[in-house]
Amino acid sequence: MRALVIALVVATSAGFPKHYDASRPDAAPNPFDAPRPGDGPAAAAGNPVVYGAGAAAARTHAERVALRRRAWKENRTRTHDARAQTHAESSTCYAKNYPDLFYHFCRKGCNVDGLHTHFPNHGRKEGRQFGCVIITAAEKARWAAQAARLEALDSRSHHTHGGAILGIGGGPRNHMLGGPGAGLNNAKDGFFALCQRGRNISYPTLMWNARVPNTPPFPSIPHETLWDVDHWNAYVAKHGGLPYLVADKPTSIVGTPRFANRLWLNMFRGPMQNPHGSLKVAHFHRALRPHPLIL
Amino acid sequence: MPPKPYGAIHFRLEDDLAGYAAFMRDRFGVQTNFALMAGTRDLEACAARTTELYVAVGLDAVSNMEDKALLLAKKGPFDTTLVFKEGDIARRFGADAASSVGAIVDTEILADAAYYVGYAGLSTFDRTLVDIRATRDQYDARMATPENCTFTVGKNRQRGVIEVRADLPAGKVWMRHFQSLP
Repeated sequence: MRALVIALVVATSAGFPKHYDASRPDAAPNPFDAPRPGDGPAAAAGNPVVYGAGAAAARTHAERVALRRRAWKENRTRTHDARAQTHAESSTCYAKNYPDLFYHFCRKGCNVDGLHTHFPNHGRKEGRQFGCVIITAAEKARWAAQAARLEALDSRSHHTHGGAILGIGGGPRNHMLGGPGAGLNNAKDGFFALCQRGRNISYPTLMWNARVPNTPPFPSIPHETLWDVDHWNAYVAKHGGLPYLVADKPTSIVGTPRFANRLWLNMFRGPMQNPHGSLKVAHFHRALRPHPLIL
Repeated sequence: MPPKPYGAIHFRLEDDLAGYAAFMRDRFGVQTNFALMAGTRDLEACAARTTELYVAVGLDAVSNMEDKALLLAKKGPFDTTLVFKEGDIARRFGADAASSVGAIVDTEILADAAYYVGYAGLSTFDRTLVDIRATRDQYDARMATPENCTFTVGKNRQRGVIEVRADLPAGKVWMRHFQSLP
């Protein structure tokens, strides 16, 4: 058995070369290595493939393949960069043409993807043109007026953020007057509900409806008017488990979740049935201190 | 804020919910509330050292003349004197905020009261007060229990209610002393 294995190894190494080796004196010439018109001088020994200015120096098939692959990669990168640049330029031009888009998307560097998405979703229907095109002064003025409206609205209100709730309580008239969303404590329950869900209240989100609204629009009160926001944040920093609030002056209800009288069943009552929930309710009420001007 | 110890009661008598027939049927008048309080033994013990009874009510919005006259007489059960929040506190925040500010003031005062009477079955404000008083001194994870001397009035049937007064004008009404969360 041992002799058989040795014989097999010897036979393999001697009679069946594992790969083509051009350096071997007995190797047949590679037909693809034949010189072609335009070939330069042969590559220096030890540096068979010459890139760049010496591209013409490629003489063998392996050299030509390597050169073509290199060129293809460079072209791909260049095309991609050019396309990305065009994408950004077109989007920026789109924003510059329309002042309202510039105000919305380009205040802190242009949101290129947002602009690119805006056009098929909204811009085309609104009669806008995408890219670096020249639009009429009248059209530009028309959208400038829209930008002014947006700016005026922002100075009175605040931006909506993902996960933010703007307004608790309130809503339709029948809800305000004794209906499911009425009352300060329903609003408070709603606030606790947000805390329970771990909502990121990164911006001022709460407004408290006034009790006796007679006619719409229903009056509402920014939370920082009623509650000591600094105390809330200091308490949260110390105890955790509740979201932070930031003072602001929201003046309009954007979304009005319907909070019903049954809220406490789901919010306060549920947590109060277990030790950790009870502690959270305790923290919530201690953190919610009235504004210093009230008490 | 009245000097401690003081008692506190929340009356939901304001007429801002006028038109809601069910609400009007279920609410209690001042006389019924005071009669229930006077007839409750636990409450009498809680009120032993109090001379003032803070009344959380929007006095300006009480349109029932009988109720208003009783409140303005400023005489409460257990020989207590009725006190109300100063109207200026709420009004200086503007008309829109006045009611909410008033509610906040009431919340703070009622939470600190030696005894508290509300109507937890009718008003979420009262129900929240039960929670606040139950967790007011809680700093660790444990089951909350209502602070002693937290009461609610109620009407008709209710589980666990022992003291029912059928001789009062409002019919079968009762007073419950919370020993556990409702």
